[in-house]
Amino acid sequence: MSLLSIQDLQVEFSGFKALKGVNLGIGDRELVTIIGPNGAGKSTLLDAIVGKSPVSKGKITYQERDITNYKPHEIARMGIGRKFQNPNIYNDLTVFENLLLALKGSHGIFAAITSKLTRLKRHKITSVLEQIGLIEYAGTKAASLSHGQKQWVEIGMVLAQDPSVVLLDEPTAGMTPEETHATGEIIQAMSEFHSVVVIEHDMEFVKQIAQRIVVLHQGQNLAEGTVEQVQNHPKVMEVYLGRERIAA
Amino acid sequence: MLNQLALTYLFAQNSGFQIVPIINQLISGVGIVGILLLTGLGLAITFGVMGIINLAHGEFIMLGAYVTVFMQELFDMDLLLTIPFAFLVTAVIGALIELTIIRRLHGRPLETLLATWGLSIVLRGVIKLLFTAQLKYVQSPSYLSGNLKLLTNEQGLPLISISHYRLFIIGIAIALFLITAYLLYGTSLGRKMRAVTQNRDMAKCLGINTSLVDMGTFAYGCGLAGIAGTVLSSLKSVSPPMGQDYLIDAWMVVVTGGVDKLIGTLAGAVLIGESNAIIAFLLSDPVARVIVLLAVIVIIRYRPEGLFTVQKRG
Amino acid sequence: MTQVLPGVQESAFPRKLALMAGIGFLIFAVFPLLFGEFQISFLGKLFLFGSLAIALDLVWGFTGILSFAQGVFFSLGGYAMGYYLKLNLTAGSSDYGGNLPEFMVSNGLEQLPWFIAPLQYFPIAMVAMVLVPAGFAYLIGWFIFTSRVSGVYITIISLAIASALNTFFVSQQAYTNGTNGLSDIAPLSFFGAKIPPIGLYWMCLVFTTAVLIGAWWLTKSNLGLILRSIKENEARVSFLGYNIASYKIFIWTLSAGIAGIAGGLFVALNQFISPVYMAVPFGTQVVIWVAIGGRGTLIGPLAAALILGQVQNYAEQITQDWQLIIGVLLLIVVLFIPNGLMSLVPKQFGQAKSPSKSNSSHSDAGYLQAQLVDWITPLQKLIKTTLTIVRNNRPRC
Repeated sequence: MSLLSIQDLQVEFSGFKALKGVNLGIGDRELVTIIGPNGAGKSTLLDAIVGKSPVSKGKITYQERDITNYKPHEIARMGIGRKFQNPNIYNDLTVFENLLLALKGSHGIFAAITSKLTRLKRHKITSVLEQIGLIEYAGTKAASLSHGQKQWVEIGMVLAQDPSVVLLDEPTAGMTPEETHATGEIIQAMSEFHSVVVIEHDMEFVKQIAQRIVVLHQGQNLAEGTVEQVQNHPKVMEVYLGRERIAA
Repeated sequence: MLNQLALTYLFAQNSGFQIVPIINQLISGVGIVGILLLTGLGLAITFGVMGIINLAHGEFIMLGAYVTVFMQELFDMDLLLTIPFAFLVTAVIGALIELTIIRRLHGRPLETLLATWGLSIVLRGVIKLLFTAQLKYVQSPSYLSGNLKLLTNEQGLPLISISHYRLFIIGIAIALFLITAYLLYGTSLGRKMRAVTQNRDMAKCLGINTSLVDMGTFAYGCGLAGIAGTVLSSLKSVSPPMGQDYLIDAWMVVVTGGVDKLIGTLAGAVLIGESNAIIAFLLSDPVARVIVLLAVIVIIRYRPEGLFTVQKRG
Repeated sequence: MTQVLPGVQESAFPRKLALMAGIGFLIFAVFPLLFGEFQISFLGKLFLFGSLAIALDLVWGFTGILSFAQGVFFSLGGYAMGYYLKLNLTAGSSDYGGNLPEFMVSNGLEQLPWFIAPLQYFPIAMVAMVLVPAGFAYLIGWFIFTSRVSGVYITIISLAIASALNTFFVSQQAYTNGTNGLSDIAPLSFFGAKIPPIGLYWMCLVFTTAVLIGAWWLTKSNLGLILRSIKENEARVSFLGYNIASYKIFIWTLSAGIAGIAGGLFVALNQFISPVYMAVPFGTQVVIWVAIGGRGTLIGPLAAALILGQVQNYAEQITQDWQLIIGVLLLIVVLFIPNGLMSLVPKQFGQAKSPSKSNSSHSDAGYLQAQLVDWITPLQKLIKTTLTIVRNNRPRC
């Protein structure tokens, strides 16, 4: 049984069908990479899972619970964390504060007022900072970080949430090759403790991390398998031919 | 006009249902619709097309009214002749304000709101300095006085009537509405205006001088408010705080109608004007105002894009 | 042993700040003993306005919800206190007989309306002073914050609410005495003894200090962090598991409750309340205190209310155009000093900010200068262009 399973998911924006029935199952501590051309519905799929876009048909099941069309904060509290395509972090806050905000724990108002920065919390944040390699930037305002560092802060925020399922939307966008490689290592380490779904464009990076690849096209599943299987899949070659060289 | 049968029905004393006052109320509602449309139109440009939260809109109406006061005091000019002056003066002031204030706060709606609110206080203060706080009165042209009698009783006294001036207001409002609609949807200038607001960067790439278009659009919206000021100046007295009365109404009209299409402003004006008139008849004026305001809050809550717009892709 | 994180503040008691605040409190507590009754009451009112500004700052400066309806909650609290004092005066010394206030009699009421009658009892009036504005705010908050309505529309809704409630109170002559409001009311007394002005003043001072400390403590807690995040990007917070609506409703309701108490104390001090305090101009006044003092600082709005109130008091004796000055000041602040005058005060005296080197130049004089240069450039360009056009079209001889 999958930890997170998606059945025949459809999302519609006033007439336009962004997803036309996607199926996906993610097992415990599995790393799944989703690829597909622009407009395939990759980000929309993540939007639907986290409750950002309303689902018109189909079902999302998480830990054997139907979570279709739950509110974003409810889904987040159940243990699904998401990193957005563009770094979506708090520029006015320090890196430390960004992580503190994301930290797993009670999300109630009373808890927020009375909560103290315990040693345990500091320890947890410190270990996340170590993981994303930003320990000396703890007190720096996020606004002054580089693009790649901001991406890491957001990955750190997802880690601090300590979710069961991590959804990463193009985590390496705008990164230098070195940064991309380092990110790949972070993600692989992550997948030892969490189920991870990664959306990617960069095939080099996909090859570095991928175990199982799912290809989406025009809001539907197109193919699934290992890197090699997908690369040699006739339908995939057809879709990508003349657009992006998947075999690069 | 009503036919003879309807007339006899109306005057049947035992019918118990008084239709004459209701028709009167509906007609006075039409007058309100004219005023609302006139005040809302400028805002439909500055907020609807450009997305600028302009809380100084009422003050541009006030400025237009003062241009008329000034021209009449100095040259004893006919009210109709002051309209172009009101338009020009408010448009130029609007252009200057766009250049010095609005432009700098682009993309920060709450700051724009605050700045235009400050501006509205400043404009009120400056006009008070120049013209004192004294109430001014504007002469409406004699050929627009009198009433159009739609229905009279046996003694020849009017039962249902509408003043010529109200008709004039409605006429001006509809004329301006049509001109604006033509400008926006029928000319290349209008296409540029809409292009700039929909995708500024793309418009720039296409060689449109976005800052000039911004300035021109805002100036036009302010000019419309100026005309509204002139036309409305003879309805009540002219005073520095007069714009405040029109501000909230204008906002309610634009927000209710929705900013997508200009026709929304017309629909909003009709809806608010008529429902205001009817509720005022059934209950009382202040209660009507409270109910209409609450209704607008509910509309914003459930349809922030306005009643008369198509829902966009999320 | 946890690693030392560079630039991360150990949450220690802010000794310096507390000391300064304590000294300030003592000065303001003792100094007015030298003043006359009028000045004491006036200063007390300014402190209440200050707490009103702090309450708005919680909602606007920290959470990003700009509201012009702060005066509504202030007035609701004020009316609760006003009815209590009015009914207690009338009960003692009514010319009309019975316990009806004179305006109700003259408007043809024969009986105290059921919704006003309970306010003659002190405990009920005190509870109403907080719960009526807070409850009303909760209803509004629940209605608007659970929707997808965005910032600017909420501000417009707040304008509509202020306008609607003002119209309503003015129109309900028989129950509220219309525009005249509640005047000629009993002084606030404690077990039958009238509280002297200095006593009322101390109550205001203690209340405002409590509001200041409470707000400081709230905004330093995790709640403050969450509120600031909502202000910057509210969608993102919800994906971290926070229910934004409930946070907004909480701070909005809390702010209204503070405003209500401030209003109640104001009426005890001022002996008068009218719908003027509900209307948009008064709401604007509060917004201006916060904007000029500095959004997101707590001392700033309080100081702005105190100083501007004093200046206004003197200025109005000289000039009638105080409002114009206020408008110009507001424009200058929005355009050039977005963080308020407080941001121009050297840091160590200001609000204890996060100690990290502030990379955003938002708050220093350099920013101000850049803004000014930026502002003048298009004007210069315009003048130059105009001059060129004029020169080129000059008739040649």
